[in-house]
Amino acid sequence: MLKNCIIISVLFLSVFNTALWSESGVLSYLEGRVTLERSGSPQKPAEIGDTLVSGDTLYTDSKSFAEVELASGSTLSIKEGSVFNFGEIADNDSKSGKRGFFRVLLGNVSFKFKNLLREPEVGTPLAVLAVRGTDFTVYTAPDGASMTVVSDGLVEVSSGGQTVLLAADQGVEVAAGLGLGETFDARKGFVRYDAFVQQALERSDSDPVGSLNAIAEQFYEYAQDGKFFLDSWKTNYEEVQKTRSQIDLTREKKGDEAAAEIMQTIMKPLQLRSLDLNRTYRFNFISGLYLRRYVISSYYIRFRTKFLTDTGNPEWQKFLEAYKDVLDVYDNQLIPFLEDEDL
Amino acid sequence: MFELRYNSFVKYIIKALSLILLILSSCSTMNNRQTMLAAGDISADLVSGDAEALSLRSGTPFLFETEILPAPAQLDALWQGIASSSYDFDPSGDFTVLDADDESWRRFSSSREVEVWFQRHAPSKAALVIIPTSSGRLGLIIDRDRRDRKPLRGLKVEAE
Repeated sequence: MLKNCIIISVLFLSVFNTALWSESGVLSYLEGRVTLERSGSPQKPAEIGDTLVSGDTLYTDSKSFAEVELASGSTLSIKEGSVFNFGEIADNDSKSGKRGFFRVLLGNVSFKFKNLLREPEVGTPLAVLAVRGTDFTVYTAPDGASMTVVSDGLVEVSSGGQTVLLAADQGVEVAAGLGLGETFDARKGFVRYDAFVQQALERSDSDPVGSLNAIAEQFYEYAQDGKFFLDSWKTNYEEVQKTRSQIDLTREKKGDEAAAEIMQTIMKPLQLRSLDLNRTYRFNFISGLYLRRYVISSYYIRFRTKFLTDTGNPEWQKFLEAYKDVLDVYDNQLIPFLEDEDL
Repeated sequence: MFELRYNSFVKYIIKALSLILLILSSCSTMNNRQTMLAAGDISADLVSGDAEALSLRSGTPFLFETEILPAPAQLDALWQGIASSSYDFDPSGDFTVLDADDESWRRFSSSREVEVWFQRHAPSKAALVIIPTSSGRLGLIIDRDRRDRKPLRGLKVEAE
């Protein structure tokens, strides 16, 4: 019953959303093999001219590259070995109630924003970037760590309650368990992505369990926040149902005008809140899913293959224990709230 | 009388079309022996530690034990890790080819998402190939569709 209510509500909200505003982009250039995954559909080879809409994910392999042009004229360059998700989040300050939210889940993506009246946000597995300027690059390592480098304008990087404002030629790293690092000199030639990835891998190699646990904390937070907003959405949904009955009753007893008054003063704010809560709980569950898919899986690959012939090794056993705890939370606190199409 | 003849003609056409479809589909599907040959090529790449060849043979989203890997970059990391491991991938016995069925997901994980992977992402003509090795045994998911240039869709490594 609840699942049906959610589906009906999501359908209603999707139609409502699309009518209001929807961020879109076009794949303007590509080299090599680039794959596009549309929410709920199988992966397919991407082609120049493909339109990207909210929920789409682009994958580049080790020898490919893609460029996306947004309706505003802004451009995104997705480098080799990357995973980029084109999405949106709730935004009460925006007329449409939402704004673009682009995720750099793996690899590196350069952004050149124009017409910053409606700035999107950029997310990595562990940080959120508010765009205040035009030209910057985001690097994400397999362990979820990220490095942001600004070439022009300003970018605000937030993680774990800390925030730093980066100006041109500045950069900052965010790593699990370490939070936001010191701002560093990021002039051209000073930044090396391969060195950043190598450093991230060495960090996780030196303490696999500690690194996984640090990621797991963020993962648990997404699961808890998602549940909190889902429960709030359910409460709000009950209010919507009650108000609907109240409107019908008022129409019968006092006429259309009185019913329209309740519609305007009570129902409409409840519906907007519903929209907001729906987007927020989905955002948290999907963020948890991405953390699982792109970061926790990278840990598993790295340590499983390292100990493939030494499964009795205490280091592997400890890692496996921590990994199973994460899977337990995933299976019980996240999967029940995801659609099969998400998986 | 005419109607009777017309009905028989339609039935004949449907039967003929079904036969043609059956022949065409069997042409595009590998039988067990051909599936074993495809598994043999993959096994040879595993033995030689050719990570690049394995990446080229693998389709996404790929199932590696409990993990679903949607990105080519993750596959590269997987095959590089496998290639640098000391696991002995040399086959130590005969390959076993099974058709993937509703219960195949349980061989990989008990997780709901792996069950969903089998329902949504496993090829419709998937085979499960079991290869015994001196280190344990391997489970490969292979697409029997000949047109698939990336037939390897899943792997499970079991140690003795």
